[in-house]
Parts: sequence; structure tokens; C-alpha cells
Amino acid sequence: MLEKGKISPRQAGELMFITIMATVILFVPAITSELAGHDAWIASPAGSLFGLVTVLLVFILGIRYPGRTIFQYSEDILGRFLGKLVALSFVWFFLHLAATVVRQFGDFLTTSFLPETPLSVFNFTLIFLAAIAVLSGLEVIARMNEFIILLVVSSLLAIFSLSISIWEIENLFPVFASGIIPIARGAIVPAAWHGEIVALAVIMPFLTRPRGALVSGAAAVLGSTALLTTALIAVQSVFGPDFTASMHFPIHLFVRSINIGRILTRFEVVIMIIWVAGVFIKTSVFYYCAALGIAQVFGLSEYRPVVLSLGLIIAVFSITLYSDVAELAHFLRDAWPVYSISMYSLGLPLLLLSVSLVRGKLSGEAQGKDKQDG
Amino acid sequence: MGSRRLPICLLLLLPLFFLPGCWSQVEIDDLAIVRAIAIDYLPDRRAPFLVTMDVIRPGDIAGGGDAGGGGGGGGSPTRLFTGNGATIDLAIQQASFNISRRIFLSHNELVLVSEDMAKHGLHSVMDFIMRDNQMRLTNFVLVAPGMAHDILAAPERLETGIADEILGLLAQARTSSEADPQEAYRMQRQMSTPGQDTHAPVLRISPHLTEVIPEFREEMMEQGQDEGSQESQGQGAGGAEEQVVPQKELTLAGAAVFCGDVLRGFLDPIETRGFLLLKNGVKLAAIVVPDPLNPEKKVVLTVSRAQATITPVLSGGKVSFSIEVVAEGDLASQRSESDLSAPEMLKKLGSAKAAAIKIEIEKALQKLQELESDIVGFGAILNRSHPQVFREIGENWPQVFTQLEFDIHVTAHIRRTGQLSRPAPINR
Repeated sequence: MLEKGKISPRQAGELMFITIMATVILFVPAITSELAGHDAWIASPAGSLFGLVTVLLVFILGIRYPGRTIFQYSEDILGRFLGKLVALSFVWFFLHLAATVVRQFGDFLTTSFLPETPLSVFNFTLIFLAAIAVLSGLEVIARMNEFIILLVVSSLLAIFSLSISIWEIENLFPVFASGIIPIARGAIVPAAWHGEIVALAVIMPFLTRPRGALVSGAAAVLGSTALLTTALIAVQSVFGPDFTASMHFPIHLFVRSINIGRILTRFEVVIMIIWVAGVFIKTSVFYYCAALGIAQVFGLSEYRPVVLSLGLIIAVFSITLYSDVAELAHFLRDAWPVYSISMYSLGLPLLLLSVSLVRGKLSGEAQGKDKQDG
Repeated sequence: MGSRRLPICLLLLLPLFFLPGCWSQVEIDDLAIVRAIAIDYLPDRRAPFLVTMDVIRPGDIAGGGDAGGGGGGGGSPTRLFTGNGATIDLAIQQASFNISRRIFLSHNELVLVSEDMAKHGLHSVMDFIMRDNQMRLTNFVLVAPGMAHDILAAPERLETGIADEILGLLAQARTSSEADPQEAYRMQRQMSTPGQDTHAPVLRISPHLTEVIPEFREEMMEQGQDEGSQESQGQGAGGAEEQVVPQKELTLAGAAVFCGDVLRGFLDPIETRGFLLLKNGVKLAAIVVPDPLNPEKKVVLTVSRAQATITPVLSGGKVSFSIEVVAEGDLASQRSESDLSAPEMLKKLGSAKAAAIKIEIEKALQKLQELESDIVGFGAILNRSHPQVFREIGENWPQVFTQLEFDIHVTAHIRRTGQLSRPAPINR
């Protein structure tokens, strides 16, 4: 076993929650508002609940192949060559995701807080920190997350409740004004983000009770859906959908607009805390998944030797994959949802499950025949 | 163990370079903290934007304002810096050549826009406010008839700086109900929302007493000369002139009305109140009606609470709006000695007040229709309840808006009569 630590189902749920929530809250409101207009706050729960499908797929697979990660059971299901190919494509997915997240992190900080600092400073520091976390193992990441989740959720709730006085709910209406198509288009973005919960397929074997993964995964999706929807309602009721769509980070500008008696103001530090802490966990999780994946695909006895070299790859990708913020936004809006849902959060898990079911049935029938014959 | 201790110690020393915050540190002493920005537009120039910044004088941040203010001469705690350029950013950049510190906009709270700038279009102003990472969306945007620069150049009266003076006026506006301060993000939202136009409060240099009341002028001149001669003994030369030239005062009243981002015109204070009645923005207002017993004398009634409900009415493909207003308030003062405390009298006063409110609202709506500016957001209200209808006619909403008909119903109640139940009798 490459990973000796064990985490509880609750810790796994919290880890998945922060993993999804960290970037969804900053990036998705603008994109969904652009695509779905007034109906963004309906599109977001509709899309987010897609994450439950992924949880279910991953859970059934995990139960059928107890103690094995997605990298291992894809080989069990599809055979040596195809299985390794699928496992490697998942490694690529986690790597790509980690690089994109790191890039989002750096872009937000340079845009909003520290415009004179080069992007690479943020990216490299974050990857260095995440590398230390990954080297320490899953258990350490999960325990650290127990502290961070308190920080993130309580500050978000504080922000939302402090801002209620400036919400103007009438800006959310009319609903369903332009039919179902904009809602569907807007829903695909939060769906892609919540599909990231496919990382549960890597973590599940390390749960003390793997059967708890279904509940904790579903809870993570529901919790993140609730927060995203609240964020969208808050942002849209203050800025309106048309203005929201033209921002990069609506929640940041929203927090800057909270001004209670000119005393309770300037809360953007809170957003900074949420962002840095959350993204750190998110990067660590995907980084860990990629490292473990490499080790399992190539049959290494330790995943730690590959961590630093993977970090270098992530660092290079995080700088070179996107040349500017417009390209990143364009990728996240147009390419990423289709790509990640069709391949990783729905396509491949569905393929694995159906092949596994068919093979199980075939072998079951074969066994049955054997018995009849015997 | 011993071999590992040294690297670990070195590693522990490393944070010393980052954690003390010495890396690219910016001290408060290095910042020129801007409190207010005035943006003027000078048409027909290559560099049309004239930006004036109200910067806090360094010495007065720490020191007490009183000591500086009492000292006569350089009493103002802020200094103005101007620059002009082809865009607002460039104008600020040009101003920075005259400033010995780094311009810091995070504490800016006011953006004053001149009439010409507003007529040219607010887009460049809003773009600057929203795009700059130091500027905040909670900046108040105000329109100044004439030059915005002159407003910042006006001397402060009660507060320690002109920015605080204006912020105080904005805070007071919520109780006078004759101006409606709006943050930049609200204005941008209104500009972005279909079927809704935006507005901003008007800040002007008030005409001096001598201009309003001609009799005052001669009196002032005489007094001024007397006092001036006395003053000049104490303070030195120039006292006489300062006394005669009246000190400027600022007035915040009325609303600048936009269509898109272009200034269309102004609402006067009473029209602004009529508009605010529709937006449920009236917190305290005084309405004058004739005395029911003594019609040539006046009675003043306050509006302390007003609730307007606007509902679109569709009949035969035509859109109109029904407006229901419920207002509450007290009897504030009366000029006659008649007893108005009887319930039926208060009822009469109530209906007189309702009629006065209705006229105010009608006047405001008429003016808005003249200006083709839907700052109440009737289009947006229609869009919320009948999106299909709005999609058909929303294309040319400004034209539709000018033809709209309104059905206004006002109910007003007089709840209290102040400390007196009836006027105290006077024996003649």
C-alpha cells in the first residue's frame, strides 16, 4: 500500500467540500451570470447537483473494487494496456487541474491585491507549500483541512450575513424569462466544477469506512451547492446579472462593497484568507492524486520520489498553459466544462462501471454455467 | 541528528526575510492618501480630462486637527493636486509628477463629476472606478453643475476637510429626502439593467445670501467694512477683502438624471422628493398644505414613512402603471391659531397631504418623461412581472416610457401632533 494513513469519512467529505468550493465561489458566479443571466441562481444548483451522479458512479466502483484506487481498478476492468491508458489520462486530468488552479490563484492575487508581484512568485510558493503537504501524506492534508474548513465556512457565512442589508432581492427576477436553454448553458459550468469530486475515487480506499464515502461525498456536493447558490444570490441581488457578468471575480468586488456604518468595511482580507487557504487544500489534493496515480500506474513502491518532479511540471504548466487572463477565462467558460464532464467526471467512470458490470455479468454467467455443467 | 540541525536552523532563518514585511514595504509616510476625486471634462482638447485629487496633508494625519485649524494661514488639512490627460488614469499619472508621495486611492470615498463630464458620458468614470484595483465600488458619485474642481476648492466649514464635509452632507441627505446618494456599484447596476436608468445627487456651490436677498448686500458691505477695519488691526492686511467676499458653501440637493450614461438633466429638490417617494426613499420630509379652517395660512406636515407599490397594468396591449402610496407622519407646525387636533380635522389634513404628495409625484414623473429617463425603473418592474411583454416593447423603452400613463393613489395619515395637542391660547 502506497498510502499508510487513514482518514475518516467525515474528513474525506470536508476535504472534497473545500476542494470544490475553493475556486467555485470565485470563478463560477461571473461565468454563470454571463451564460444564464437572471437565472444563474437557478442554474447553479441545477448544475451543481450533477456532482451527485459522479459521487454515485465513483462510489459503486469503489465498492466493487474495495481497497483499490481508480488507477488500480481501471486496470482490473479494462486490462493492462487500456487500463493504464485510462489511469494515465486521470493523472493528466489531476495535473492539468492542479496547474489551472494554481494559475487561477496567481491571477486573482495579481489582479486584485498585489499587481506588482510577478505571477510566478505566487505560483511557485503555492506549489512548494502543496509539495510539502503532499509529501506528508493524505492524513496530514485531511487534518489540516479540518482547521481550514472552519476558517473558510465561518468567514463566508459572516460575509453573507453582514451583507444582507445591501441585498436587493428584486434584482433576481424575472426567472425563466428566456427559457430553459440559458439555464442549461449556465448549469454546465458549476456541473464541471462539482464533477471534480471524481477525486473521491482516489481517496476512497483510504477511508476507515469506505461505505461512508457516499454520504460524505454527497454532503460535500450539497454543501458546496448551497454556498455557491447563496453567493450567486448575494452577488446578483447587489450587482444585477448584467453587471456581474462583466467582472472577473464578482465575490471579491461584492465583499469590497460591504460597508456598514463606514466601520464594518474592507472585508476583502477575508476573501483573501478563504482563497489562499482553500486553494492550498485544493492544489494539494489534486497534486496528491496525480503523484499517487503515477506511482500506482508504474508500480512504484513509494509515491514520494515523484512529488517534486510533478511539482515542477505543475509549475511550468501553470505559467505556460494560459498566456493571459482572457485565455484562462475563455478556457474555463467554453472548453473546460465539456472536456472535463465528457471525459473525467462522467465519461470514463461510466465506461469503467459499465464494462465492470458487463464483465461481472459475463463471468457470473460463466460461473453459473460451470455450476450447471458440474 | 547533529548533521540535520544546521540545515533546519538555516531554514528557520529564511522566513526572517519574508515575514517582517520589509520586502517592497510601503509605509504610510510614503503615501498620498486621496479622499476625493473631482473629474472635469474639457471638450475640444487633446487631453480633455482634468482630475483634481484631495490629498491628506501628511502632518495632519497624526496631529490634532484643532491645532492646525486654529493656526490661521495653512489651516486646511488637505491639499489639491490636479493633472490632465487623455484618460482619467493618464490625468492622475500626470498629477503624480507634482506629488512627492505615491498616490493611494483605497481610501477615496467620493468621485465628483462635472456637468460636462456627465454630458459626455459616465462610462469612462465608471470604468476607472471599477477597473482600478485600489478604487472601491462604494465610492459615492456626485454631479457638480459647473466645474467639479471648484467644489473641492471650496473651504470646509465644520469638518476637518472638504471630503468629510461632503460625506457629512451625504449622511444628512438621508434625513432631508431631497437628494439620493448612490454608490458607484448601484449606479452601474442601474445602467446595466434593461428598463432602468440611473441618477446621482447634485452637489453645487450655493448662492450666497447676498445674491438671494438683495437687501442683505448693502448691510453686509457696511458691516464688512467695519469688521474688516477691526480685523485688519489684529490679523494684518487683506482682512477687509476676505470679509466682503462671501465664503463658499456647498449644497447637496436635487438629482442628476441620466439616460444610459449620458446626463439628461436635473431634478430640483422637490421633484427629487417626488421621485424618492416612489423609491421608498423618503425618511423625513416636510409637506406644506393650506389650513382647512383658515385656508390662507399654512400647515406643515411631515412624512416620516412612505411606502409606494408600483404594479404594471396591461389592458388591450397597452401598458400603464398603478402607483399606490401610503404615507404617515406628524403635524409639525401651523401658522394659524385654529385648533386642528380633532380627528376629523386630522382626516382633512391627511387628505390634503395625500393630494400634495400626489402632485409632487406627478410633477416628478412628468419631468422624468420630459427627460426620457426612467430612473424609477418602470421598465425593470415590467420586466420582472411580464418579461414577455417587456421583451416586445423593451427595445425602444425610452420612447415607450415617455408615453406611459400612471394611475396614482395616495393615502396619508397624520399620527401625532408633536408636543402640543392644540395651539397654546394667546389673549388679545
